[in-house]
Amino acid sequence: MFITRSTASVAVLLAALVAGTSACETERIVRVTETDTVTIRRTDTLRVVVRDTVRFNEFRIFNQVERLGAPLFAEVLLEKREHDFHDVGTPNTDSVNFKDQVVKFITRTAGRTPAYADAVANALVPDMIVANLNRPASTAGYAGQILSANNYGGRRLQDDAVDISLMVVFGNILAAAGVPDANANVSPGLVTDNVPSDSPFLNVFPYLAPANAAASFAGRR
Amino acid sequence: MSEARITRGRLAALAGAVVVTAGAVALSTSLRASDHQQTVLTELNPRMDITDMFMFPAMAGTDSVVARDRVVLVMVTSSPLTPAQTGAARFDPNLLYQFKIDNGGPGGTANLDGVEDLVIQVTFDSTTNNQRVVNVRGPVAPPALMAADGSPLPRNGTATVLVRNAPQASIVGQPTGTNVTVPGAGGDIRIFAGATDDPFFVDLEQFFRIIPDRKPESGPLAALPETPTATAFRGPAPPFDVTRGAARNFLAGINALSIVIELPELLIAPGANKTVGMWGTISR
Repeated sequence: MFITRSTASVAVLLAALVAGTSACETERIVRVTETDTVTIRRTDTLRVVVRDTVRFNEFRIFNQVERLGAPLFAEVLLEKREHDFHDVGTPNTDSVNFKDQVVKFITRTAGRTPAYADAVANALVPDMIVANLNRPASTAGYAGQILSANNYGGRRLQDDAVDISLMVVFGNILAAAGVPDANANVSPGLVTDNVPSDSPFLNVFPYLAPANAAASFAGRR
Repeated sequence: MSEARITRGRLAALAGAVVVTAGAVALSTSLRASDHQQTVLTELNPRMDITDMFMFPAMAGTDSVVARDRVVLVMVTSSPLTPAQTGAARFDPNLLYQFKIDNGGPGGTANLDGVEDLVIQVTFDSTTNNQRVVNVRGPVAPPALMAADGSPLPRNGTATVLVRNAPQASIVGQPTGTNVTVPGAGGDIRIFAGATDDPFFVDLEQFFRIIPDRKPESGPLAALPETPTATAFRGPAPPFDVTRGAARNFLAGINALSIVIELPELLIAPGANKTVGMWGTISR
């Protein structure tokens, strides 16, 4: 038996060889690792037990079940029944598949003008976080590339993506970028959820705040 | 005497018959945020749920690593984890976590087309503490995949395989922030994979009162009315809505499983065009 172990995984196979011709059946347990060779008789019955630490990812075809680009693209702009469809898609077809729904949400639910909705939808598809790596780090921030091509853009941990997204859909944040009708039909009560970040982000790798301990959790709930 | 030889293909078939439990953790709370529990599938399988993606320039801070010309990519998954659930939470070794990069392709322009030009593939081996391994492959061009008739599948398809012979870095053992050098790829790639605070913040309850369609299927927030019962967000402090209270961050104190990759910009934007699009996927 010759088995090549999957990369860096702890491949432990237990092969039980049952001597079928023997009156008194005996069972040999053989632990097989990367380069082991095991010789068995022609009449042996081979039973292979694969322990759960064995991974065969190298041989698999993986099928996409989840996708996320901009934080609130699907959550706010697409109806929930469309979320599964969005999850198994790719950005290059977002314009065909989702632009109409984005326009529909911004015109009907948010009550904005068709010209504004069309401009916003064009800026939001394909659904990706976009950054210009040549721009100064000081201009990094969520939706920055929509506001101005001179920004780094991207998305920082501390960015209030909820408020920025609400200001795009319901407010006039895009007026400065010259988007048509950006000041028309705004909803002042819907441009912020009035929730600030509670996370002590780091300015060194890995940047995210450490996991919360139970005490801080109980205190906040 | 004869020697039994099990080929890779047969082993793969054998492995397919093995049921592997993925360490599912029952959740007592039910929350959604930027993409938290966005579908029924991800609500029931939190390891398949990407809740946030980030891309920002590396910061020098007090770190000895020079931040200039480096970029940070972050994928947040599995939220919400309460602190009590966090210790036992593990990335799923049966899933493939991917960062996708659209850089316009070779000689590309800033007019991004939404097609992945480069991919970073992250997989995990084992959920046992001293055997946990994080494997990071790339950034490389996405692997070619053949259809059953031998014809190549679209480069931007949603079915994929692990790329072979790619620059690969692994963290063996308990995943913590670690410097890993990827040979010949133009600089260090730093990798972190493990439990962190959930960086997102939002007043979910009021959001679902305004847009009930986006509610989760289970948990206390699922009980909110099916029709809109609010037209504005709540105030931050008194005087506020006496029946519903002040605005509340539903992710305060909540944890998640996060992957952080800091790498040289040149690795994701090797050409003249430096405008890139990024998104994350999970495959099973």
